[in-house]
Amino acid sequence: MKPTLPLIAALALATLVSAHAAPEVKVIAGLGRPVLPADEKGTTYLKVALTGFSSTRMERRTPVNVAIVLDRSGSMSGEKIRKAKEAAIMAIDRLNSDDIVSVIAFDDKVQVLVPATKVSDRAGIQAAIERLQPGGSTAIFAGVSKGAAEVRKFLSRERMNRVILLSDGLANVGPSSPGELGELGASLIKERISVTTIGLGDGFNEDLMTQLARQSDGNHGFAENAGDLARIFNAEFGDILSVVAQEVCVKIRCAEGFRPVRVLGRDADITGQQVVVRLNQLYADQEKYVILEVETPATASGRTRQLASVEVTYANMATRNSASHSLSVTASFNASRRMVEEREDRSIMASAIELIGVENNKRALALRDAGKIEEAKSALVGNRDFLTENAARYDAPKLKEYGVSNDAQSKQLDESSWNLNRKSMKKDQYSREAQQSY
Amino acid sequence: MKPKLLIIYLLLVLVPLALLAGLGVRMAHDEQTMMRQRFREILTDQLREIDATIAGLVAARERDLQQTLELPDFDPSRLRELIRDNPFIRQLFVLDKTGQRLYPPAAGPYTTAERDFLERAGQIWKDQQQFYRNSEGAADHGWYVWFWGNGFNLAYWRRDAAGNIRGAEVERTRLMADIIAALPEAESIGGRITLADSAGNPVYQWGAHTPSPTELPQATLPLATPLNTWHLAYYAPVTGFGQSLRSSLFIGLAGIALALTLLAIYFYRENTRQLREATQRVSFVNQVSHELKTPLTNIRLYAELLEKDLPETNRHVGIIVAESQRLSRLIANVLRFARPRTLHKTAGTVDETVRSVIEDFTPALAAKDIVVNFTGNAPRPVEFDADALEQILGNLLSNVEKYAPGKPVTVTTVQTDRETLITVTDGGPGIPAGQRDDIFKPFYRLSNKLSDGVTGTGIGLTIARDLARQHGGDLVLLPADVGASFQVKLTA
Repeated sequence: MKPTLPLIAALALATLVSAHAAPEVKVIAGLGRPVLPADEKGTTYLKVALTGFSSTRMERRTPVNVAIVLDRSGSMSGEKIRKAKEAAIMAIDRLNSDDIVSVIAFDDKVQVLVPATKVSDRAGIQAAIERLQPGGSTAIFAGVSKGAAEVRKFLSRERMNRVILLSDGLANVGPSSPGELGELGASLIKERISVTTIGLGDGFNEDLMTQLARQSDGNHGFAENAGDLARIFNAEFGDILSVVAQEVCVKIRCAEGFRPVRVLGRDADITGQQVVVRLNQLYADQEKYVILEVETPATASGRTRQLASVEVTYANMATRNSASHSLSVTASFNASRRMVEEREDRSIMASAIELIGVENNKRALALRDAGKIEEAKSALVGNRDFLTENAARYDAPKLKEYGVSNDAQSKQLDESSWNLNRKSMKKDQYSREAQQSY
Repeated sequence: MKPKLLIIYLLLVLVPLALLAGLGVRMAHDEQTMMRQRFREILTDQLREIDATIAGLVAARERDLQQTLELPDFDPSRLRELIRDNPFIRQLFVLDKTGQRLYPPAAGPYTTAERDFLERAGQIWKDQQQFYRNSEGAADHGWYVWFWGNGFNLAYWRRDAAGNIRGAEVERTRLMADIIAALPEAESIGGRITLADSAGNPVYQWGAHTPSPTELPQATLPLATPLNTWHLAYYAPVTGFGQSLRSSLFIGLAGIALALTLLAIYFYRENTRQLREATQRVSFVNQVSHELKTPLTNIRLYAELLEKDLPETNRHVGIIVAESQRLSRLIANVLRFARPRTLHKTAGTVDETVRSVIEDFTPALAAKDIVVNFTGNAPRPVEFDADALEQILGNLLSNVEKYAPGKPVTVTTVQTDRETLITVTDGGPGIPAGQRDDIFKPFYRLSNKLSDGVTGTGIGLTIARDLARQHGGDLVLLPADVGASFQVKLTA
């Protein structure tokens, strides 16, 4: 057995080393077209991808501070409220005594069923949820306000702070426009509170729900029927129980001459040469990315220029320290078209194309909203062709699938079940833009 | 029961009851109005407390903003960072004292948010005057409210030492959310309180009561500045309001009605009992009088026979006759009073009857030294009830005998075509002026020195007049210088 001892020691050492090597968020920055045609203005896509490390590398998962805000308006009665209760209770089961939960129910009024509390009295919390009775109209704004207030009681950088809103109806008491709810979301994210919105059935306002989630960097779920709620709550809690980084800030400073045009699919602050995108959190093993469209200046062939410097800062929930990564991105210019095409980064291009596809999809939705069904249909068919073409070009099956789904959507624009189809389109757009896991 | 009595008793119950009811309803109404007023005041007080909570929150926010606006410089990237991290601020702006915009930098470049802001807040640049003066003169800080897009927008501004205006646009939805978070929950009150925005739409509401769409609030209160276009409204169920008072009023009235009815029944029974007893007594007296009449008639008859048979004992018998005649008159009066009878008119001369009465009375009057001077001028036969006339004159002469002893009495008769007048004038003390009307009332007796010690029933003159009137005539007291002068008038 003697010879095995050093081996064991070596193994132990290796384990020790790997355990002590602080887990880090993987940050990659690259260009869709690192080589650009020389002597002319061009466009390229800068992708900054962030991938959360595995939650197994955390000694202790990030404790959560979550407010579950449940719609109990009259339309929720019956199976909906039953399933919602079940889903909430099941979700709370996954929390432990380090976590903080509050439960708020709203109709045209708001009731805090469980004020923010550590999850130690599980039975009491579940009993409070069980007692929920539906009736009344829908005061979403007030519900979220009270939910956020409960989260704020234990607001901490050490925790994952979140409001989960479940509603099946149109907000009709208090501020009710997508814009207003979006503003609230934009304010909450400044406190690092995200709002996940879950729409149930065909009666909710998907614009409002996606806007609120988007502005606060939460998730958005669409449960076509009450049976989907368990799956969605499960996925949502899967996300929030695996937060590895928070307060993520991606700063891109474009070099002189390179003009940042827009960030695809995300809200960004673009001031002059500087682009700032904030994410509230990163989940374990999930990739989130920022794609910036950059206008490149006419440059002589053979030159390589620095295009941008990228700085990513975040709070590492494993080490409880803030971390930062600095990267530099360069672009080359070449007169050879072949060279330009050969050097394209297929994966980055696919990501960019997908988000452009989302933009096309949104335009089609706007046309449909304006009642122009035929135009919307041809826009979707056009988008299908665009995606299919690029799928072949960049060898991206994901784009091909997206093309197929656009094709399917082009056939579901008529009045029958448009309500549900629209919600599912919105949900799909949102998931792609936010790289949501579900 | 007599219907008149019944009505009286009904009125006895109903009139006070109606009065009380009217008064009670009035009082209840006043009370209700007062209670409603008081109720409103209480509700308004509650709204004031809520307003104070909101005002406190706004004041705290104002202090925060004031501190936030202590900017060391107006470096755009610093300010942008500040906006990104401050959940209460939507945008910042800085104007120098000439009104030039320092931030967002006049020359750009702008972020999307800043572009939105410049569009949204365009009014601020146009409206700059208001930073330099307000109602209290030159102010160095304040709120600025403007309406754009979804309505209400709010900014806080202050002037720094250099005269720059530093402003912060408040994240209005966040302010609303914070106000909502500070307000009570769903079922905390029985009524319903609604916080409504400038357009009257509810921002937040709580309370168990669900007002109907047409229901008006019991109390409203505008919020303090800068949210003064918002208001609080208190809806409260009004059913059952003042009902306890109304029901207690009803119970009270029912009680009083019962008491009054019982009282009325008691009085009625008491009254009928007394009436029955009185009737019984009267009928007993009648009976007795009747019983007395028969033996008395016999006594008189035989005494008169005796008077004729035994002239020598004339004086004693005369007394017996006179006394028995007096007794007869007394009984006749009693019977007459108790049971008035119809007249039986027969033809005869008044003078004859008068003379016969005077003759009957002569012994009794003579005993009192009363001389009767009779002047008869009514010899024409007329239709009249001789018994009735006898009774009238008897009562008059009986009074003379009692009250005017020692003075002559004059009896005169005068006759015209239509009537016969008989005047009896004594020389007694007469009737005091104030009692001339009273002497005809039943059981009335003059009360003075003269009448003291004189017995009488007090019904003589009443009966005399009743009889005269029954006869179509009258009995009146004539004005006289000395004594009393009564005149009997008989028609036909």
